[in-house]
Amino acid sequence: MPLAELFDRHHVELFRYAARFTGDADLAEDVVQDAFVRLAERPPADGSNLRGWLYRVTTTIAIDAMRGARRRAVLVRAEAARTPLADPAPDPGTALEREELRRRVREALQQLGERERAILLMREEGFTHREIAEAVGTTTKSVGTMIARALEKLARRLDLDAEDAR
Amino acid sequence: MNVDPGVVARRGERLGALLRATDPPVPAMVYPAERVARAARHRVVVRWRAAAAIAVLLAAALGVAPVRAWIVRTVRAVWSGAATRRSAPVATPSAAEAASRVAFTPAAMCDSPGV
Repeated sequence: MPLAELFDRHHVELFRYAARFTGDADLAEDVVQDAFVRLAERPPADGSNLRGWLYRVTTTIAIDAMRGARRRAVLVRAEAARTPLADPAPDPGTALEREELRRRVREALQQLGERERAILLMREEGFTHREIAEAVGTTTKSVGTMIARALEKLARRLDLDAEDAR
Repeated sequence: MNVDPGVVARRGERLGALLRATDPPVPAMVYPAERVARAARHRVVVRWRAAAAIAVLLAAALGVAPVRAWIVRTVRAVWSGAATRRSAPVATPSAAEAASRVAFTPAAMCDSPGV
């Protein structure tokens, strides 16, 4: 399949994944484009699981990009300015709430290790434990354990059990 | 780590809802056609450079007598090894060898009367 078609098919989900992983939408955009350049430079020998390969490469590039960004100290960006043009302007209270929630989720995810974060976010994208294990280079069994552990950490930070406690 | 699968599923669902609610809008991304084309050209150039470097190294190595001798020895060894593998006869027992084979069956001896 031509690369442009692959880009059309996968760039939205890869952007979503990269934005969640890095917590930075601008960086995520660059990361996704770099992943497709990497695909042109060094395509996978076995093209049977191209989607998994793209996520793996996106994760690697995202990790490098985040380290580079941290070194250059430009990671702090005004996320609040990124409001979709088509949406009606939210009232200041709602916008503030949403931004606060976005900050909390981003910070909670960034507290996880890179591998834990990748596993959790790939699960969110619908990958099976086996596919995740292949992508991050671990066993299927440890994927389950790492997901449970990561969710345990996030449950405390994001009150994921709040309704259960009531 | 033993966590109830129901709890994991529930937490996963809630995290998913939070992520979807806080996802940034997807920008209008353009396929990086020029960068991809440049990368493809670079790939071809790198391959040619690697091939040229190997050819130059081999040519230079042939100019040094000990290296030339080693290359000749190695090529001869590889060639003779391959030739031996091709011409080696397959060891199959001849008819006479097969006929003169003896097999002992102690169990049969034990079962016979008077032993």
